[in-house]
Amino acid sequence: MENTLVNKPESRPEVVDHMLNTLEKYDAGNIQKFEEYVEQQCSKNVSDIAANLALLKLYQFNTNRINDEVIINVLSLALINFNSFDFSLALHLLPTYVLNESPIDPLSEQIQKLFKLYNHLDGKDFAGFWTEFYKDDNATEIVSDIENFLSLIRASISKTIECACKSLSYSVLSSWVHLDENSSALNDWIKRQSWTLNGTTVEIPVNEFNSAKPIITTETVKFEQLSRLLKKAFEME
Amino acid sequence: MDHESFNEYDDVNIPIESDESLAVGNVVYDEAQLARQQEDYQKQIQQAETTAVPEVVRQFLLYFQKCFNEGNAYELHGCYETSFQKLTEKFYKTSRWPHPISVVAPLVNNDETFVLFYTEVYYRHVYARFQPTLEERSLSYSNYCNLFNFILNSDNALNLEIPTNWVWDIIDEFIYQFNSFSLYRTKVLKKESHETEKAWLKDHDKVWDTYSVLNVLYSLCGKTKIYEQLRAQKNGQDSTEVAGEYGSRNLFKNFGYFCIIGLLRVHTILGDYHLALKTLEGVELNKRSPFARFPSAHFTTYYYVGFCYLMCRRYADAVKSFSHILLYIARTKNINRSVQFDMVNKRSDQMYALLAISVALSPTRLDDIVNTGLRERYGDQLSKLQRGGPESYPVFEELFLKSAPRFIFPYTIDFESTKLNSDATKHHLDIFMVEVKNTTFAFNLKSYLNLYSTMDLGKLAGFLEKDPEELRSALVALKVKNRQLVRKDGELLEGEYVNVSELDISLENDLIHIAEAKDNRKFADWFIRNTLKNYAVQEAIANPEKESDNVNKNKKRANKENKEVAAEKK
Repeated sequence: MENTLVNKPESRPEVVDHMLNTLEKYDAGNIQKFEEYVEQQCSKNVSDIAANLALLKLYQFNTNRINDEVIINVLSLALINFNSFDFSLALHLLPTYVLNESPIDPLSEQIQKLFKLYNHLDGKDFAGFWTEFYKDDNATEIVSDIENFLSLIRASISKTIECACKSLSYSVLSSWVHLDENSSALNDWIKRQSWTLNGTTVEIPVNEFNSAKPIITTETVKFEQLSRLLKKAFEME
Repeated sequence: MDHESFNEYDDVNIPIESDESLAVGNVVYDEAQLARQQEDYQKQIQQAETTAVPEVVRQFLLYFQKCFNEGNAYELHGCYETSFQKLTEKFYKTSRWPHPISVVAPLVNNDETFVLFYTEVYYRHVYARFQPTLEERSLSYSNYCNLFNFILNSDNALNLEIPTNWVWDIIDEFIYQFNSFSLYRTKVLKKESHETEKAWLKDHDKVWDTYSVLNVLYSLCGKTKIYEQLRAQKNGQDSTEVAGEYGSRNLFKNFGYFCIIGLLRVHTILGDYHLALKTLEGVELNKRSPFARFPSAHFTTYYYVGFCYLMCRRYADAVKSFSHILLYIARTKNINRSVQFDMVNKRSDQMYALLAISVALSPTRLDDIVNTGLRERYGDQLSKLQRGGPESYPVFEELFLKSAPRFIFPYTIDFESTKLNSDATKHHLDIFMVEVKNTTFAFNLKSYLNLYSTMDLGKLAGFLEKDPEELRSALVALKVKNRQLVRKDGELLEGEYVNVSELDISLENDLIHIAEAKDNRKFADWFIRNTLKNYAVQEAIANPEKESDNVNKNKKRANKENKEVAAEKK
């Protein structure tokens, strides 16, 4: 997990970084630059939520420039980072009608589909995510601009597993990453994560998160806290 | 929380005024005189002489203008803070102050700059006491435009001298009116009728435009070089070197500070929590913060920062912001009985509600005073929230709706279709509820997990009557959601992922490992405080005379407070 709002992706172009740190981020003339950057992110498999939020903000002020496709791509990219709340931050900036109960345009239909998917991922209901994903052809269509979307989602799911589990049954993993049991795809996937398959159990190497650690709080006394005592002691001389 | 950091607030002292007479320059009007003029004025109003100005008000306006132009800060403060309020109580409780253009301008010899600032106060009074008309909303807006234009572009602005409170009120009101107008517009456009209003709004689509509001705030930040100053201060340099002609004057520096808070607010009501927190880059948020000197600025900042943290799912940081400021309010409530008392009370009630949400989503040990305050106000709701499950959802929603800022519709209004005109608050709430549902799902797990150090997943599923796979997901969610970004030092958006819960788990296939935090009491802090108390007692025993002085003083103060309370009850 990382602080996606602060960490600057290495691949962020200088010109985008400059816009983000100046008032140029409000200049409607820069919408195209931000949009091109989203395109880049889709093909390079990186997500730069800070830049994408700036773009959504520009759409707020320039309704006539809204590009549905770009919004969907921004959300799909954010979906991949489901552990860092990028998705909900982006959603907060969208037109407020998009989540209304009965979707009134293709944009809100697609967003609501993504929102459902996010709901499963946020609840770590990974099996539910795949069921929802393959329920119809819509989802595949929605994320089609993101190269390797499926393996990116799988990678994020695997990271979550690494954070919480020391080991996991083979069949559960199969349903969580949606790769068939005993398929070479699943076995390759396990190898690529540097996990090991031991009978029906997939073992995950120990890392800093996946063991339950009791938290021991220790009290630190700052020197300033003693200042009044020391002053008093000095006065008593 | 670190108690030491609040000691400084104990010294905050705000004088209390209870005198009924009124001084306008050297002339003092006693109560009887005021009452006579009040009666006359009532009569005149009944006779429809609406342009009539009572003598005392006329004198006041002239004196107000004189102080304004002389830059007499002390007297101006009196005019603005005290006399204006008193005259409002006497004469303008149910009617508007004398009109700036038709009445006041001729009276003050068409002193444009004074009229500009008087108009600001005039409309603020209208907004506070009445339902402003569309025309008034628009005129107030254009007055703000002129006022900011004057500050940003006129050479005379450098000689401007107004009380800091007024500076705060200008920015505060500017954003309030913007917010209020946006909500009003959304409301009108939703309705089937109201054709005249709709037509008016369509013709005046630039009035209270979000872009121009942001523009004003950013321009003032730029003019006062406030960010440059903050950066220099942070690097230990002399901020006056980068401040420029405007920024080095205290008045404009304050304008700059307050505009930063203004930006924080505007971004928050637009739903941009990321940019809202980023706006405070370089601002130190602690007792040394430049805002700490102005109570309203102080708690406004913490309210919005806390709310943004809550929406960014950083509950530990949200709890910290709310408790910090609620403790401050609790400690100063006896001396802070100013005009804004009601406002403070309302805000702190909202913050307790938000605190209840944050604490429910991420259990935290609170400071005793804050904890008591929370239980007093929201004890019932809090226990419902903490139980989680579908029964808690309406309570989460209720508290959210009650205490969230008044969100506005962010997009440029589309007059042809109503589709873009949807309820902003509901939108933000819907998104937030996903998080609530996915987090509270695990609440009833905790009471079981607390009892064991290892447990079989199937067995726990049996206890809970849940599907084992659903439970497995809930456990992973619990583990992952317990790791939150928590700010150490540094900018508001920075932070490290930390396990904020007292519970840590890991899954070994179907076996759940559970570790619980051992809660070590903090002894050192306790000892330091009590040693100091002990010294104080010893000193009191050694110098009984001095102590009796203090007791008398305290008694006096207590009496005064009691009187006030009694007066308020009346």
